[in-house]
Amino acid sequence: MAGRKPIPKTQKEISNSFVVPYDVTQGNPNDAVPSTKNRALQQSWKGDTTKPFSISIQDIDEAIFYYLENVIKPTVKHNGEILPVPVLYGSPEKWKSYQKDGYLRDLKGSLMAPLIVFKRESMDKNRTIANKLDANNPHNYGVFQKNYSAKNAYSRFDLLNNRIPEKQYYAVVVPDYVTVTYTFIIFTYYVEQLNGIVEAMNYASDAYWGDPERFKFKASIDSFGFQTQLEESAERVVRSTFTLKLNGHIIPDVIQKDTTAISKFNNKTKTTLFFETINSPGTTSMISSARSSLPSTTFIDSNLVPGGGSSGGGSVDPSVFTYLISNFQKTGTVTNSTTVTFNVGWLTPPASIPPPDVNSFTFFCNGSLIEKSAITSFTQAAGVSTLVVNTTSLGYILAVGDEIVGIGKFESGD
Amino acid sequence: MALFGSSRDISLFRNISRELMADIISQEVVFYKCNITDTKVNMYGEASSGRVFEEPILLNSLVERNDQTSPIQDEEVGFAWPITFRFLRDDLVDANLVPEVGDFVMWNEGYWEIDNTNANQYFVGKNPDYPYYDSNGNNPLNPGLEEFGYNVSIICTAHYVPADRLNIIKQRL
Repeated sequence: MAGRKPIPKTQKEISNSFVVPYDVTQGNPNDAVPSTKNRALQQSWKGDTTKPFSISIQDIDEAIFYYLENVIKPTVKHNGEILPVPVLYGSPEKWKSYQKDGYLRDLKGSLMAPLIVFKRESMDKNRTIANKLDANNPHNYGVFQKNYSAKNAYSRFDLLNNRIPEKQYYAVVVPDYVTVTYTFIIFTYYVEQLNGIVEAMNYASDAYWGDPERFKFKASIDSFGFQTQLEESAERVVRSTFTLKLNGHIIPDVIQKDTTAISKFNNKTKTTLFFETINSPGTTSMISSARSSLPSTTFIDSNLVPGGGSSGGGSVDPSVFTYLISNFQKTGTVTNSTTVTFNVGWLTPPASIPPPDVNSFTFFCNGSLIEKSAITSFTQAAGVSTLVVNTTSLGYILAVGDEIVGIGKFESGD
Repeated sequence: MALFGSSRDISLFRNISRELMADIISQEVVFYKCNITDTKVNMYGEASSGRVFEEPILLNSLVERNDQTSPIQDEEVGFAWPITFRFLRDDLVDANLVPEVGDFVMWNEGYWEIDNTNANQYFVGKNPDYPYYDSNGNNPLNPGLEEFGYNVSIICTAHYVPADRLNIIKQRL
């Protein structure tokens, strides 16, 4: 029988195989966001009212409009009145310029000053901030947690029982950072009017422009040009032109992004079983409980829990119960820089209960927890328990006089 | 002594011109003369607080209209409508009015600022205001030359001005 044809690795699988996590407990950071290739992890947006996150060039343009019209609010004094200065996007269609904006014109159709006209001239990519790396397979994401969902509904019961439901996240590809350049033209009838508008624009430079409820982008103006000149057979020109640079970012709403980038995923959840005990008159009962997202503990053999499980509990041997609730604190003696001895042995468990081991004890050095990973061994012999630590993992050495405290299944305490 | 363009000829032309302009063509314009005394000017040489005009004067005029155009200016559709206003000089003398660059003419609900005035249309090429007298008050070549010739018209070329600039009528909403 012919062997199965091997499936070639994807580029992401090959790249990830070379990644050595700095922190092994955290794992490969590239795995934080699941792969798009795994269809089991792909989630439908059906019924989800959350709008997929996108920022368009138009959003950036609108930020300028908003800031000019609602924050800067340029005005001039003309014919004894304070007039707001209209803001228009340059080179509109002719019908719009002449008919829809007819209120800016007099009876014959001549534009009335003052007026601010701006137009986007160019857009330069800025790769120094962040980069999604590859549009075919985006690597860098921003992640947002959805507060509540059908799978993560607010529940007082869950809160009281420390249940942490599954959380839903939205992943958004890191934006394409761009510097957008706009050209502004301000024209007025008089230089005095122009001065006021230029002062207002100059004051607003180097600020973040945009609607606070939406997006704000840093805008900067470096210089203003002034053109005041008389023209033959035409109106006197009083005009200022300047360039505004706006640091924006773009997340497009395009098919390619939808097909190659992660948009939605759930966190990893776990169910941990452990014991809770209750006393009722005449019997000692044990129930099991299921909780999620709690530190993992050893699964207890189901034989120990007659009738146990998620549905209820049953009676238990009093000796087992006594053993389970027994924990003693004992102070040890430092014998050298890596070794501590406790002048006490370990409890003997009832039959069918596993014997104690290093995981049955917790140790503290001068009040600080000694991590399990820093313990080389913990053994007992002839009524003496010996703890050996790895000082490299611990980060320090033990010294005579240090207070070493152990808590766990000792035969007796201090 | 000059033979043509005497005061009798001039009177004929003056009367014909007036009748033609007033009763036959009948184009009228309103002339706004700037009041330079009351108009305040800032350091930039502009009347930003508003221009002051003399009382408007209604005049007969030959209005030579050029084409209206919509040139693209400052990323927007602009507007231009150059016009030439021709005035009978005698009408202006009667109204005690001297058109100058910067004055305004209102015609057909629009306002035009005068760019240039042209007063060189002389009948038989002579201007009676300059008879070339010598120090004795005589013209040695043509005595009595002041009785000949005629300064017929003042022709003003003008460009269109947005109405709200002048603060004469309210145009801006």
